[in-house]
Amino acid sequence: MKRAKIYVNGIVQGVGFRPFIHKLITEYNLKGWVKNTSNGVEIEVEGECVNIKKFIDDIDKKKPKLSVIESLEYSFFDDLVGYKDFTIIKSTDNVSKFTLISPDVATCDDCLRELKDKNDRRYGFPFINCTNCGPRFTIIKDVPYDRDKTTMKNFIMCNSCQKEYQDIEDRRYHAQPNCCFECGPELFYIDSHNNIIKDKVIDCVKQELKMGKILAIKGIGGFHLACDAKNKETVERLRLLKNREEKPFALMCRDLDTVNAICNITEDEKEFLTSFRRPIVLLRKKNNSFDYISVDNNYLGVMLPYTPVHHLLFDDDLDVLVMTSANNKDCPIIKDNDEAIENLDGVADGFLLNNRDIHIRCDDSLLYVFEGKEYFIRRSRGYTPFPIKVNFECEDTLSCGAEQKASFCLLKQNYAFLSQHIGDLKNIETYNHYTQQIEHFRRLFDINPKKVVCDYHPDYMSTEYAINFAKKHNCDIFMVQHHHAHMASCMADNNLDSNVIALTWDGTGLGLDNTLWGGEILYGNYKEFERRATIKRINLVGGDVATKEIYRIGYDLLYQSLGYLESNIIENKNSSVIKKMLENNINIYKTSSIGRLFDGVSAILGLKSVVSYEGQGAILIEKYADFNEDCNYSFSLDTMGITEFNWIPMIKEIVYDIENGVKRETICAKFMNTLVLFAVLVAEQIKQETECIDVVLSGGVFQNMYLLNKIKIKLMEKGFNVYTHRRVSTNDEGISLGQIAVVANGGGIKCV
Amino acid sequence: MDDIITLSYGSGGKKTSHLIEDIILPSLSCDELNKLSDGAVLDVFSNKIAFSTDSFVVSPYFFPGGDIGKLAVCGTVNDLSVCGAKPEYLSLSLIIEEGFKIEELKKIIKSIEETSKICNVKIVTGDTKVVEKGKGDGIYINTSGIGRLIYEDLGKDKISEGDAVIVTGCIGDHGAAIMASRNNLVDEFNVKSDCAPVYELAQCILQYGDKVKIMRDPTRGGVATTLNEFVENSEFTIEISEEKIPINVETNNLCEILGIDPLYSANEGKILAIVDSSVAENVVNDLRKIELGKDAAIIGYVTKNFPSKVVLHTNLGGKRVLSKLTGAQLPRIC
Ligand SMILES: [Fe+3]
Ligand SMILES: [Mg+2]
Ligand SMILES: [Zn+2]
Ligand SMILES: [Zn+2]
Repeated sequence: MKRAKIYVNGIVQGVGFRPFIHKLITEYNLKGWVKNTSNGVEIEVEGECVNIKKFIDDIDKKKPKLSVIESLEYSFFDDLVGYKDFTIIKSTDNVSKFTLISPDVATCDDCLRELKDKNDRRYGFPFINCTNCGPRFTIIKDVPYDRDKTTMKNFIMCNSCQKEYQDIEDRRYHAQPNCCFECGPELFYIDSHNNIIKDKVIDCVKQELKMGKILAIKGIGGFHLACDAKNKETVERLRLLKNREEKPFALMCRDLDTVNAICNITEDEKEFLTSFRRPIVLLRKKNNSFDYISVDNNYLGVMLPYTPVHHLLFDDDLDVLVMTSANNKDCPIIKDNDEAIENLDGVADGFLLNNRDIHIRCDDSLLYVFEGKEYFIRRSRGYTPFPIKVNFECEDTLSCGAEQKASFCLLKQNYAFLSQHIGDLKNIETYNHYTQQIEHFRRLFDINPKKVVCDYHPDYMSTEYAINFAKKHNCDIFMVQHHHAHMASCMADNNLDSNVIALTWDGTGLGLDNTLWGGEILYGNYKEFERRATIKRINLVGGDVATKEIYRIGYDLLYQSLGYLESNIIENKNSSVIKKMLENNINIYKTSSIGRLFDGVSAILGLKSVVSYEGQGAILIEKYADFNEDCNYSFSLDTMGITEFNWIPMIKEIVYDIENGVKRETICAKFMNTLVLFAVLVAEQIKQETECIDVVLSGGVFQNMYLLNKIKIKLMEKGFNVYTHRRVSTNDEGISLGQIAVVANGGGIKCV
Repeated sequence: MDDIITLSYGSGGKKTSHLIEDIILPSLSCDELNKLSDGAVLDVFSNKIAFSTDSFVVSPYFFPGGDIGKLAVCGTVNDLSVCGAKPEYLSLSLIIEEGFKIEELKKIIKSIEETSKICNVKIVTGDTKVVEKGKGDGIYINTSGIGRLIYEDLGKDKISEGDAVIVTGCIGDHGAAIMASRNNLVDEFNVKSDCAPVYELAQCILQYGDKVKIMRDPTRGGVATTLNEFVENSEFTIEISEEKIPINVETNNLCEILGIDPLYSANEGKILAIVDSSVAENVVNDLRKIELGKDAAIIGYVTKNFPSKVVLHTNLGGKRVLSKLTGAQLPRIC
């Protein structure tokens, strides 16, 4: 007989850890207690030494799936207390006041089995869930998490459900959304003639989908517009109705086999596809058959079913659905029945609804799998509101993010609570959603910011919010330069804290010199940075409109490189005015943005002259680039002041290549290889001066997998450690984490 | 935060507010000034008057649709008109740079003469200064004016939910015309400044007495900035619809190519009025009978949906916030 004390640190509270320990302990006949402490869980047990050891092994092996164990320490003692039983002790000393809230979890295998089992009392029940699965974040109104504070409040559990709920041996012990046919929510369908169908709803809906109808389907964090992905006509009708000419749609496949039929998937990708978080994973297409789903790139965004309703929808004749978020232009995803009926009138042919309210909007997460880890384009459902554990601590702080891909972040101790996908704050409904979510998160996690952080851009809506918040709550306000925030975001993502070389490449962010940056190589740390290299300025003819009408950027590149515009490379009716604007410096904004360089090259190559969605120009370059091409174009490094990548020689050679009929596959690759070479040269320069070998990559440009892979390979060949994002998005959605990291470490510009 | 005054302090946006509210007002605060309206309403020897001043710096000083002289008269006359006054007297102050052509000065004075006749105002006092070459931009003009107050119950505090927002004609023309003539684009775009006195339009609106809540002439910073001034620090929202906003095709084309939002482009002959919705249609119909008001339209309404914000319902179905900008329309897309 021995006594052991075990300390488990990490994310082990609010994830069913103590009931898990309680259950596990019975397997090994141990006595003692378990309690929550300020930084984890403490356990004391007495029993046979071998049993204790097996028990400790099992803690890590069998831990609840939402938990994250960061350290597990234990020590054995010979003196015994003589415990008679095992108890869960109420937390006493300085236990942190916040409880973690689980993200929404995809239907688990046990539930799925019951769902398909004719003899189960929940056979075909569209709201089946258990302790291990079901909606969480999206139905919780307040803490502590119990049924009364969720949108399940109106559904009183029947006796059978109540019994399961109270039985510690049952899979539904303390499963707050537990319900069944008798006591749970109901599914109903409203067809195009406004008939409300309550019988055989699923059969009816499948019939409609097979007939080529577009349906609004209520999900976990909001509505989807769904249709049969194999019905090209319907998909094209959806494009028209949604005013979405070319932007890819997400797909939902019946199962892995179905995914396999249309995409090449790696083992890693399989793991993320089937994980309980069920993100949309960007997978390589097997062939061109789904080009009408995603015409501009070689990937398809695919997810697997994650609610019981999804699982019920599929069969042999209906195995791939388009599942795109239902929302008005730039508005948050639709979540309420009335909202859907009002806003999707004329788009959806029918509505698959239920009477359980969604309290919190949460879009599907979107990611690539890069080196076995998540590489987020959008971190949302399945991940939010789980905190990101960081390697610094600070008093409660709020950071307000950027603007177009807004997010916010609340820091409490060393936990960073990052919001779900929010969207473009210029839209007032999105802005309202943003402000409401900040309040919601503050209440849920009991966070009272003493500091507020925002971007350096004075006209971002998030900056305006931060200023008002600071006034109202009497806190200090800090501004963090956009690219410093990108750099810090990647550092925090990887728990770095010494000096790094940062490639921060994106669209645009306001620089400290009040010009627009976007192709910056920085050197520094959380607190401060130096701008070590940038690129030759590009003229944004007319400001933001050039981001859409990218031929304007193409013109500028040609004009600056060749000195004239009489080129048949880009044709447009506005040429003469654009030329005049360039010559006379009319409404021209200068930017050192690599994102814009991509746009300009894309226009010169004739891939696109006016984009129909953000980033389209760059996406096309990535699509065509031949990864095996290793050549690059010429460029020069101007070293007056900070090092500047001069792209004029490159543009000249691109023009030469075009005129000589070189394949665009080659040109696209050579263009990106040139940027890679530039990055490597500068990194080596900095390394020589500082001995720093840690490089972080951040910014929207690194959503480009060609560039990401090549830069990483080339830098590693030169002996650098290369860190990329893995816990937050590389685009502006990840900015809020960086903002907080900067200020928590004493950086940023304090405003008075 | 800035150590020096930059150009953005003159844009009419957030920085201008900062200049006025944080640098000027704290020292010079008084009830009349604090209202920051287009003109001050004063009780002078038991007569109610409106008093306003404006300085004009514009390059070029001759532009399609007007010149700096016409602008100088209209500017002050319009400020008085939207305060609910009948403009009566103006002062005229000229700061001329050495080397300025007398021929051009004559043309400007001629234009001042003609415009003041149309406006029925007398220039009753004045001043001239000449500055060394290089110390001025050709010519600067200041006018101040006094008007007899006819209607005095206008103010932000009168705005209430449901009120309609009216604009008396096409927006953004002055700003567009200045851009075009400054940059030699007049051949490509047939844009003309709307520079004109709005007294008649103001009177037309004011017939509706206490149904009229507030009027402004949306000059610097354009319609968007003025609408923001109406609702800032209030519980109200102004929601306007893109499809309802009158705009000249040529102005719109120019703005699209230059990348300028016409809602932030200056007007010099327009009124933005907030009126009770019960009379809104009638007001617009009356305005349309006047030549200058032929394109008048109800462009939106006052709500409480998004406190202190101005929101544009776009043609694509979005609801975009039109905020007061810091200075120029700095690109923000990442
Ligand atoms: Fe960025
Ligand atoms: Mg004035
Ligand atoms: Zn389950
Ligand atoms: Zn039940």
